[in-house]
Amino acid sequence: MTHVLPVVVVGWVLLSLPQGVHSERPGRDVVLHVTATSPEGRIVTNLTAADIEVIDEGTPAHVISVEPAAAAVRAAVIVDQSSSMRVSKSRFVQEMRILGSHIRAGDSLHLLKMAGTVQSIGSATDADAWVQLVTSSFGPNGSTPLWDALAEGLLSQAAEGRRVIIAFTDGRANGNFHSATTVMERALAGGYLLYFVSPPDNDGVDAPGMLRPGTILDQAATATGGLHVALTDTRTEAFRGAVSRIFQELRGQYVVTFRSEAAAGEFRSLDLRTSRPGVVLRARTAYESRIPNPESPNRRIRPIPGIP
Amino acid sequence: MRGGFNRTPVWSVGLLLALWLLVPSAPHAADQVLRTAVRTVYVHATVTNVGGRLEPNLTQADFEVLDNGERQAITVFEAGRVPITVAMMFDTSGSMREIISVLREGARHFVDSLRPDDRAVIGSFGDEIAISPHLTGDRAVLHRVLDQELWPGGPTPLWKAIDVAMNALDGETGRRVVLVFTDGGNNTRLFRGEADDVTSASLLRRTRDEEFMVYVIRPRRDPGRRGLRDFYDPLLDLVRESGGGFLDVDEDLRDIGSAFSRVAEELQHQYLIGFSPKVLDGKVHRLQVRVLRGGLRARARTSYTASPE
Repeated sequence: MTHVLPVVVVGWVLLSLPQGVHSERPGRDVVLHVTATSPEGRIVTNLTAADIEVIDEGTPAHVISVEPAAAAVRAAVIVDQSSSMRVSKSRFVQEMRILGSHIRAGDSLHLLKMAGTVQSIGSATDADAWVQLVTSSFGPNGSTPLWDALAEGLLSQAAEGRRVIIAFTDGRANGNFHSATTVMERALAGGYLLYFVSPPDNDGVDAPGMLRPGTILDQAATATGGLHVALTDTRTEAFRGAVSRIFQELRGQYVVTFRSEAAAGEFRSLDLRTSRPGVVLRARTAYESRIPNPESPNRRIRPIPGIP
Repeated sequence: MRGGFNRTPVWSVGLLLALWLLVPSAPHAADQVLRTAVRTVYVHATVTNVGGRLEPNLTQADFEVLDNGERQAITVFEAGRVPITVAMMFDTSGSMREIISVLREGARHFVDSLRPDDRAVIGSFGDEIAISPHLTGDRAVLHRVLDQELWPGGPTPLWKAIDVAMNALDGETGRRVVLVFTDGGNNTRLFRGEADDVTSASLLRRTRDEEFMVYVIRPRRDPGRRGLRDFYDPLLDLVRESGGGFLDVDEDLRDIGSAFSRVAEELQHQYLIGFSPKVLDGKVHRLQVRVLRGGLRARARTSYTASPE
C-alpha cells in the first residue's frame, strides 16, 4: 500500500500536465470558419477543398480539410438596451421574436443584456424559452459597455467548436473596463465570429474627426470573419432580413483546417482565395500561433485596422 | 466611620440613579464638547493676484478664516502640492457634434498634465450618462477612454451627470474635484426607467455636505440666449459654493487646451487650510477665507455643514 500511493501521485501529476509537455510538435492545426458568397450575395454551399486556398502571412498554407460547419448555432446574443437605442419594450420583444423564430433543434442562444452594466440573463434552446428570456430582460437602460459585453460573450462560449457572438447595438461604446483592442485581440486569438446588427444612425455620429460607431463595428466584424448589418430604416422587415442573413451564413459555413508551423506567440495575417469565379470567401483575417505562455515577452500584439 | 461606611452605599446608589435618570437629557452637551474636540474642517483655497496669476508662496500667517463671521484659529496648513482626484465629465449632447474632437484634444492636455500620484476618471453625458470604471493615473487608459468613449448626440442631463461624477468619487478621501465641460443648460429627456430626481438644489446640498470642488469650462456664448438664464445661475452657484472655478473658452474651443491647463495648474497650487469649529450644531455655516496681504484674493468654498463627521 505504501508503494502504491507514490505511483498514483506521479501518474496523476503526469496526467495533469499540459499535453504540450509530452509532445512538442513543430506546428498546429488552425481552424477557420469560412463564409462563401456569390457575386449576388447568396451563400455558396458547394465548395470543396480544391476550391479554397489559405494564405498564411503571404504564403500558401497546407489545407488539411474543408467540411461543412455543423448546422447547429450556438451563440452569445448581446442586446443593447442603452439609452441611445431608444427602443420600446414592444419593439424589442417583436424583434427578439424574429430572432427566436430562427432557433432550430440543437441550437442554443445565450442572452447578455447591456445597459449600464452587462448581465448574463440565461440560455434558451427554443423560440418560446427565448422570448420568455428576452421579455424578462427588458428593464431600465443606461450606458453602453459594449467591449465589456463582448468580453463576457467570449467567456460564455464553449471551449471547442464554432464560437459566435451576435450583438444588436448602435456601437456607441462607453463605460468600459476592457479596451476595444484587448477584446478584439482575444476574439481573433480565439477564432470567435462577431456579428453586429445596428439601427439606422442617429444624430451626432458624423462628427468631424471621429470614427463612426458603424465603422468600428464593420472593422470588428470583418476582422473576425463575421458581418455587420447596418440597418438603413426602422422597418421590422429590415431587421428580419438582417437576422435571416446571419442565420443563413451560420448554417452555410465551412470549417477549413490548415497546418501552421509559425513560431509561438505570433499574430499572423490570413487571406483566403478561391478558384470559383466571382465567389468571395470571408474568415478571420488573423490568427495567433500556438501560445505556450500567453505572458511571453515575445508575444506580438497585432493592431486591428480601424479599432482605436 | 463604620456607620458612615454603612450609609454610603445608599447614598451612592441614589446618586448613580439620579445620574442615570439625567443621561437622556445630557448627550447634546456632552457630544458637542467631544465633537468640537475632534472635527477639523478642511478648506482648499486658490489665491490669485489682481492679474489673475496664482500666488503660490504664502504662509499660514497670510490667511484668515471666518466661520459665520468669527475668526478661527488655523490648525492645519499645507502649501505643497496635493494629489488631484478628479472626475472629468464631458457634455457630448447633440450641440457638441462639431467640436467634440477639439474638446477631446483639450482634455488630452489635461490628462498629460497629471502627475504620477494624480488620478482621474472620465465620463460623458448626452444620449447616455456614462462613466469609466477606471479612476486612474495611467495616461494610456485615460487617453483610450477619451478616444473610444465620447459619442455626440442627445440632450444635456447636466445635473444627473454631475451627480454621477460625484458618485464615481464616493469613498475617495481628501480633495475631490468634479470638472465639467458643458455648452448648454440642463435639458433632460427622461431615460427609460430612470427618475429625474437630481436638481441643482440637491447638487448644491451634496457639494456642501460631501465637500466636492466643482470646476466648469464652457464655451462663451450670448448670455441672453433663450434658456441659458435658468442654467447658468445654478451652475455658477455650485462653482462658487464649492470654491472651484468657472472658465470661459471661445465658442470654437480654440483655447480649450489652455483652459484645461489652467484648471490643472490651480489644482496643483492650492492651499489646504483646516480649523476646528467651536460648535457642531448641524447647521450650515458661512465660510470666508481671506488673504491678509494686499492685492491678493482667495477663492474657497463658502459654506460647510457643522455636523459631526
